Amino acid sequence: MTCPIQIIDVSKTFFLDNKVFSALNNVSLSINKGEIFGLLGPNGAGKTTLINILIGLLTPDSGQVRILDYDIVNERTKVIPLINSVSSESDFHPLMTVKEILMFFGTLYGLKNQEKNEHVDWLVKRFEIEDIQNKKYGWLSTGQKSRVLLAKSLINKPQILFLDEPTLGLDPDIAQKTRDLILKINKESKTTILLTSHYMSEVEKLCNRIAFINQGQIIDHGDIETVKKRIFPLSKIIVKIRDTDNNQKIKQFGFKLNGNMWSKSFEENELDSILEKLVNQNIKILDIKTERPDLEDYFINMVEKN
Amino acid sequence: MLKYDWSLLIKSKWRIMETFYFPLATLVLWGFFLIYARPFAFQIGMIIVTIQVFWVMASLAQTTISLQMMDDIWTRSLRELLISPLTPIEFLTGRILLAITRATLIITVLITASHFVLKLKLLDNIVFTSVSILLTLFASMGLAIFTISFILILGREYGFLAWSITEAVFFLSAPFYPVSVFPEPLRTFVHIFPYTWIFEGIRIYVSTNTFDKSIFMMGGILSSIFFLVSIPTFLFILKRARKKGKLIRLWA
Repeated sequence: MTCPIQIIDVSKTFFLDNKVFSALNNVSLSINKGEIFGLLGPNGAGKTTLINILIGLLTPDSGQVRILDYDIVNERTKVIPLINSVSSESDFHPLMTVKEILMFFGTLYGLKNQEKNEHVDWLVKRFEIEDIQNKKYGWLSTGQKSRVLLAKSLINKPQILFLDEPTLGLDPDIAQKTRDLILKINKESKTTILLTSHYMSEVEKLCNRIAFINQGQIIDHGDIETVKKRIFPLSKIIVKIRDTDNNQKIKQFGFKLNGNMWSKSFEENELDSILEKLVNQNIKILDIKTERPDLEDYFINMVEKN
Repeated sequence: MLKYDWSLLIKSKWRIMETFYFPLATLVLWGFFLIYARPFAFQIGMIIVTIQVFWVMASLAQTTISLQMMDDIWTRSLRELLISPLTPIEFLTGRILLAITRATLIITVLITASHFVLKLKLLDNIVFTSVSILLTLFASMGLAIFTISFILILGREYGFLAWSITEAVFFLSAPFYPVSVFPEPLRTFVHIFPYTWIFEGIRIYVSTNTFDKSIFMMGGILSSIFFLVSIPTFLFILKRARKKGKLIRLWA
């Protein structure tokens, strides 16, 4: 099989208040088997529109989407049993209990009685929702709901999982647990995951590769370090030295004084030689740190540029 | 789907109220009117109560389908149903079966109560009663499926159609009076509603004890058309709503 998710020249336009709004414009992307792929972009960029097309809630105006070699538009019924999704817009009826929800969706995804019971029991344990399984969904906290949503997303052991802002609005500790669960799901089941998030640290922790989308177009894509280097090819080393006698020496190495700290930009392969030079010149260092641009810097830069 | 809907129904106090309280309250209200009108307007009283028995069942069948979908929208659970392997036909079938179940429950209670308490004689002619129930039920389910189709394509803000469309169709179907009461232009138009024929057939039966086959046949043809056309209409509109992005705005 080729890439499990192939998006080929997909466009989508909406009519809002008698105006034409282009939500996606010739978007093309391929996501590899088993990877966690991050889709970044500002609000209104087209991330959720793309996810909605991939899960069959929306039909593209042009282009093709192939999920596990099936066309999502014409072969939707073949795709749906193999994928699942969690979104910040996901919800269940508040009167259903947690167990009823999992059993109901187990039935919808074709699980038979014994297999369904065993799998639901496994999910309940896995997501630590044993103590709330007989509670009505409407009475759960946000964190508990999030675990139930993730549990349901695995009810059919999907080959592909679409997570649209899965930690939005969660407390930091619950968000961390959710991220750990996502990593475990990917590692243990080799599930391909497409994730959107506004939390760049989350994307950096979870994703292998990312794409940046803005105004309906893919502006950049690649593995995280590569995309960061395209915008920020250099990192920075910052040192504080003990005595001012060495000021001239450190200046010769290209360091610049900023307050009482000396700093220099460098490429990754230069770090060893810089440190070696400082040591060889007996420059006494009181404090040293490196600053590497993170994904948040990348995001801000991309939004400003585009 | 039927199990899912049934489980939600029995957990919801207002849905239980809707199933039994309002229909019975309607019967009691018009039952008292019948008792009052017996000396001077017996036939009119009988017509009103008989029509109400079938109309209450029709209304319940219609709102079962349309309000259940509105419930899916209000609770934002519709999204999870739509991204599951549940097909549109399975979705509709579950709702239709629930409507039939609820309608059967309430019509049994209403006919029994009206027959024994109000002496309505609905159990004396099983053919008339069965035909009236079936035609009214199928027309209502057809109307409900059209209603949910409108809501899907027009948007959540048109959700009020779920409970209000029945009333508009009711008075346009000449329930307690002949069609001749309407102004001329309206008389032709109202004949497109199956209820117009069904109610006329019921009025004739109550007044003259005659089962008019031709009127009920016309009602049957229109009820069948309503019901059978509503299903492909729903499927077409669902596809259209998916294309136009209307679906995703239902829970946004």
